[in-house]
Amino acid sequence: MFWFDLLFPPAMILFPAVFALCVPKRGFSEADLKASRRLIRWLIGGTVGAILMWLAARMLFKPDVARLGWVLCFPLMTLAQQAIVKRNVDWSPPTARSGAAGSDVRSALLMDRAKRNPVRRGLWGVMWMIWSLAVAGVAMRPALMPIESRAEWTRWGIALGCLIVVSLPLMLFLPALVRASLREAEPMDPGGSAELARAYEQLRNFRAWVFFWMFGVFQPVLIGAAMIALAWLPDSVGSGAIAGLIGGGLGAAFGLVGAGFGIYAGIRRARINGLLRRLEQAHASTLSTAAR
Amino acid sequence: MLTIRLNSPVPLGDQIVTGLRQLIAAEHLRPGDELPPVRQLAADLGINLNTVARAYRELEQDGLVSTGRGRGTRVTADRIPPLSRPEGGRAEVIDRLRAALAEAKLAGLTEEEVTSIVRQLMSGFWRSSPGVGKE
Repeated sequence: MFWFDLLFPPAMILFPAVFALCVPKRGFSEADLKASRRLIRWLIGGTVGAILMWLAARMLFKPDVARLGWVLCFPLMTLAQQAIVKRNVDWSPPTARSGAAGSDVRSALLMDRAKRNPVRRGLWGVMWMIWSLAVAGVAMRPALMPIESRAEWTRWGIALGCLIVVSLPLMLFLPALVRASLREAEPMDPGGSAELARAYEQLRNFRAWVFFWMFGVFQPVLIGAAMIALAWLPDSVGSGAIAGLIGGGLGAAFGLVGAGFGIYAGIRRARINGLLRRLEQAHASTLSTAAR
Repeated sequence: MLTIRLNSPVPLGDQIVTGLRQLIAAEHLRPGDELPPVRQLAADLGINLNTVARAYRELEQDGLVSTGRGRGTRVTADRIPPLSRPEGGRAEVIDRLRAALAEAKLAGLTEEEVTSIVRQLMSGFWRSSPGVGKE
């Protein structure tokens, strides 16, 4: 835990500024680049301030308090997003571009993308099967092994409640979430480039599969396994702490993997926006040549 | 594919209606084909979803598409039913062609140029029409 406390919070605090500085400069006007520089100055100042706050918390309070310093990455990430959008035109939505930055021509393919969902209906059954097995695994505990103490009853109730209150709503909303992700804006170039359409399709399918595997498979597996362990672990000294440690570790790993996929999808989307921008510029130059 | 122009003097909703009518007339969209949901098309084009919804309603009034709860918007016909327009819309079409030809002349196009453009455009709608390359 010593190394985790020493490395995780500062790494999370530093991440937004490092990520923003790694994004290549491709602003569409000097005013935007100037705004980006100003925001990055604020971001660096905020990062230094957050690191100082974390160090002060480490010195003044218990490590448990200082460990929570990692949440300071969220406001810093919001600031970093604003700086990135100004720093690189490809990180802003293509339909938000205007004037010299983008063409006035807007094109769209005429198909309902939700109907091309790569996650077939039958696959949702796998998700429900995993969850049902987890619920059965927890629910059967009193029948198979008598519960003797009040603490065990409490743990059993928490395990069952967690599967119903945390896991179930996520799964109920997941198909709608996948459908919404498939309908995310996919503006086309005026020439209807097949390369662009293919790039959109690959990213769309990748995102749908990530949602399915993360929230439809790993989520019920992880929560289910943790809750089964919580319900069945013998009521001994330290068993709660072990369950907490395992649960916390798995939860953190789940969050980090999710964040990794999110960042990867963001980078791929920026590349697609770059391709769209180049195709639009090529189309505009073809038109101006034809006009001459 | 549907294309609109943000800086055009023609309202965006009218551009969507015209674009979809052209796609239906050219048989790129056939009866039974599904149109994207209003929200998706509005997001792709970066315009207000009410504009797209109004355009779909106008096409529905023409009898070209129909919208049903839970089954989206589908192309239902490849021509506007004659009953919805007097004389099958012939007079209206002639008026529009006359206006377009007047525009072409005022823009300085020659008779040969207009004929060539019209033939090229016609080949997109009527398969038997002689295109420019077929002359």
